[in-house]
Amino acid sequence: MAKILNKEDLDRLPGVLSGYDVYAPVSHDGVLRFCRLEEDSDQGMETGFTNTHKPPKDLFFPQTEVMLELKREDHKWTGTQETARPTGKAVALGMRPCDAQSLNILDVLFTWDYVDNYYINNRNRFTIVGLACTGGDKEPPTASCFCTSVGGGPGSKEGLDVIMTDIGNHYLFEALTDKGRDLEAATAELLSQADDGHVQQAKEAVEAAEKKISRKMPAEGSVEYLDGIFDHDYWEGFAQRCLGCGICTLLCPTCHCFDINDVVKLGEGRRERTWDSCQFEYYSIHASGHNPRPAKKHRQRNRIYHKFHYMVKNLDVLGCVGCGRCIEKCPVNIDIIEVMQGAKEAAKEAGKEVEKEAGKGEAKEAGK
Amino acid sequence: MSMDGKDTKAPRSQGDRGDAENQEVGSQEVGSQEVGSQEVGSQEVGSQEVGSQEVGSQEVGSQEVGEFEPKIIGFLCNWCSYTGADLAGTSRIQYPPNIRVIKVMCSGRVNPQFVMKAFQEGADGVLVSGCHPGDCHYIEGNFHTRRKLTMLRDQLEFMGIEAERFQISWVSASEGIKFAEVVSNFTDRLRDLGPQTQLVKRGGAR
Amino acid sequence: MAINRDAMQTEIREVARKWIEAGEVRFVLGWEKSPNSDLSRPIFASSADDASRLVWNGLCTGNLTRYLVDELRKKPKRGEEPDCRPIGIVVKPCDSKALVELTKEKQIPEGSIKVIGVTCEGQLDPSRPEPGNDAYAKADKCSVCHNHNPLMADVVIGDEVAETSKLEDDDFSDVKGLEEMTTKERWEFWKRQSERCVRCYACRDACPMCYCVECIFDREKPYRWNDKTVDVPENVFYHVIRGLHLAGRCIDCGECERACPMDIPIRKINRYLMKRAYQRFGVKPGQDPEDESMFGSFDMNDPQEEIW
Repeated sequence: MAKILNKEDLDRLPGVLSGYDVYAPVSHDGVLRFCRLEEDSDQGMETGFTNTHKPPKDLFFPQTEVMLELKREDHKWTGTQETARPTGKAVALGMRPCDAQSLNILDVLFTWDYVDNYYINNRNRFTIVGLACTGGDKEPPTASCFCTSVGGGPGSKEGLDVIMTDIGNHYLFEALTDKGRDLEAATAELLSQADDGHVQQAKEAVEAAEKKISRKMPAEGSVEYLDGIFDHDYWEGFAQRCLGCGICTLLCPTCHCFDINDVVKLGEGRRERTWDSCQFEYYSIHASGHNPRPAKKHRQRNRIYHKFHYMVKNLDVLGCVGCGRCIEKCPVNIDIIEVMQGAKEAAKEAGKEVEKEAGKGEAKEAGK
Repeated sequence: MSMDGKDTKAPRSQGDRGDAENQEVGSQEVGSQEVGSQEVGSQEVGSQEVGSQEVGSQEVGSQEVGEFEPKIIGFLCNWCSYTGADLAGTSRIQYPPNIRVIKVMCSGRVNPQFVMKAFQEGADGVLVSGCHPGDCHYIEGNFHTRRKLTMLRDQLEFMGIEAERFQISWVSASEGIKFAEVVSNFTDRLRDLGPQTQLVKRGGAR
Repeated sequence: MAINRDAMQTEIREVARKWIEAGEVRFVLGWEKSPNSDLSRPIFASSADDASRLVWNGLCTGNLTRYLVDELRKKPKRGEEPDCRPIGIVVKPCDSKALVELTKEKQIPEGSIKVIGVTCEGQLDPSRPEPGNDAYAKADKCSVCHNHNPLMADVVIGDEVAETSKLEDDDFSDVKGLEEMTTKERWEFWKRQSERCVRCYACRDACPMCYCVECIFDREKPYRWNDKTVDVPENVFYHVIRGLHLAGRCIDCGECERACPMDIPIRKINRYLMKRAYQRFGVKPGQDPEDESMFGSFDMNDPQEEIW
């Protein structure tokens, strides 16, 4: 049964959730990130925002995460799992449906071959409260959103435990899972019963938002059309202007590559992992010094294939949620939708040559 | 050994040069122990240890006023400053033991990254000392030092790291006294500034 | 605007097309309209069709000289002859200062570039929409610009713009706020900025003067100077050292700040060092290719008040 929350009560929501660590988008000089709301701080949850700059994967997969404490005793190094791992329930307020969908993808990525306990531990303690996109002023969808063509939507419930929808003076508050229902119970004092009118309003707001999404990603059949053009000249074109900065991958909610380093100082240290990016030049450099992806075009191509081919084929998940951050933040406007549209065109032109190219491509790979 | 037990305001010069007045260096009080009065030559070699490191150790945050001992990393050029420092030692001129010396062939070799790295590893102050301009063993190394490192100092100040923590000095091979003064003044200044916390890398897990 | 941008755009297209069709250049680096964004983006125009897509408008903020050193270093594929033709490039006056600096540092051999210089009265900041004819606010870097005419060009397009200010008269008021803070306050400011730096290195990658084959921040053998840890000490190390590596060389094209996804005011660091470089050593970056580089030269009477 849906509930409603008065808009004026939104500020009271973190306070009511006393058993939880509350994380919400917080403005840092205008830059939004998910931060823990301190109980006594007056910095509260943002409203009237499109999306956070840094994606919420930061909550479960922090940019820098200590994995082991290292100590050297009696000339031997020992590593113990970092003991001060966060525990206790947490809630993430105000996650957009596209980012929530990324959580489902990240869940698969971090568990498909090896269960990443660091991620799982963080993930399991969170209840995710989503904020649907209703197309108001300063609200998504923006000109770069395209969730609808990658399996999502402005009111999508994927990956969420609760979804809130802005319906004027209230938020519609719908619990979707057991965790969501627990949260609903914890915030009961702020909630009241919703009627059919409220539910209808929410539905209409989301539908209106859907209509505002103008961009479409040609994700359908991406495996097939990418298959034939691995060695195509197409990848030269747009990658020429790529800076190699990695913003597209670092701000992407589904990108998950990391590097592990030991940082030690006189007999004690830590093993930590930090976000890495396939766009960095030395991302896949071998110990011999050979770099299998020496040019920007190789790295950009890898990004596209990873998201729209390898992940789809091997894990059955599409590696893109349509949040549009990479499009907005790329300093040279490398637009992933444009790239994929171009790729599809190139594949069509290569058309009858597809199999021949694939054969040539494989032979080249083997010969390298 | 003249052990008159008074505060070591002036450095002791072993061997009684007789002109101790000229060697006013500034307070040598290190905590409440007269560690500054390095009884070099005394049998108390053991007490050297006490003076040469963490009296009131560098646990950032657990300082008590008066106990803080700054750690200084000194990059000394081989031909002038290092020799000058050596002269200070052989002349038994007292100076605080807070400085840890790294010999470089020329002050011009000092890369700003060395300075930053020193701060990251916990140094409270960094000293770069070379030959006087015009006297560089390699002719022009110290002219480059001057440009590079004065810009570094500005950069540090702009980023909010006190420029007083980074000092450049010209000390020639015959200026043992000056070297001792430099170190002493620098140590005093750092003691007032307190421990450096902005750039210290976290060690361990935290 | 006194400048007629549309007429200039036509001229740019004409010159580029001529050069490309005559085979005089490998390609012409210019700007084109993005199909889905107001921002003009770089294009490596290598055909007449590409040349007809070149644009010149208020959102050509990008600095194309950033691609030059990489392109000039590229080696041909095995068996192919190297293409020795010059690279054509369209530059605004601020970008042309980068060309001067790169020439100073011997990164652009004689005859390896063919420059279309355009005069400019200011560009817009695509991250600051503003209602009105221009649709965006003027870029910050343009309010402190002293060069409205290109300093290095084979062809100059656009009427000459009267220079109204000089570096000598720049009061650097944009960094005054920070200068007047106490050291502690400044630290708090930069600590706050560093907290949100994600070490994407976009500032470095967008900068025309950052062209080292192996950047110090990528170096990991024998050890890392700058750990991968993303926290305040490491981020500050990065910004301090990068600022210092650019001191006396940065020509304030503003790309670093534009590229930054987390809105960190990187230009302030470079502007402050520019001020100090001028005050101390009289260095004017990007003006005269015959000038000596700041750190590569010295004066016997360089100031040394802070040196003991």
